[in-house]
Amino acid sequence: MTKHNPENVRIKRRYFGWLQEAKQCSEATVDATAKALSRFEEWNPAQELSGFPP
Amino acid sequence: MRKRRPNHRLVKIHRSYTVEEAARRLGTHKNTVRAWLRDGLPSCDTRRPTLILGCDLAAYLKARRIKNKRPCQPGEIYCVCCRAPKRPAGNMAEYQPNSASLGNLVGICPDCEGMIYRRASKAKLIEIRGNLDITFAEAERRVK
Repeated sequence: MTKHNPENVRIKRRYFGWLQEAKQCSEATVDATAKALSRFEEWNPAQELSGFPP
Repeated sequence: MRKRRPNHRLVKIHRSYTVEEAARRLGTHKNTVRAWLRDGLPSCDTRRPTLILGCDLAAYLKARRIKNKRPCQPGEIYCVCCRAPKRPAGNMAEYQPNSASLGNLVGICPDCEGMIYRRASKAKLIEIRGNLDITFAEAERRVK
């Protein structure tokens, strides 16, 4: 079973939508961001992303 | 045509999907994805819209894919009739060469008494044979 923070999942999802639609980032850029964020979460599982500015 | 076995490699493991997105991504119907959720695919939480983590979805599809596979152990031959790997009757099999390096192991199924076949390369015959007694059929001589 994967450990995850449901709130973070939803925040990340909104952020990816913003990157794609508002910032017009390509799919590859969003994928790279997703990978980096999941690495960060793996390193620091307790961190809530709600405090971060998008 | 919809695929019976969706490709788990299409799912991005660092992303999350709603039911509709997952269905579109995999080329299935969204009701199929909802059926997977009832079947044991974990969702992110209980809120709506239901979110599925990409890593969970990929792992679920991968597990479904290998669930029905029945790999033969050494010394076993798959019986198409019984749909299971079987040890040939009397632990005996015959190696019928097709070429210098490749051939078939032929035996008799102990349950349905039908012929069972397993493709075997000559180089890997030692790994495949287990404790079977293998007889080697002589290849028929060709008239030049």
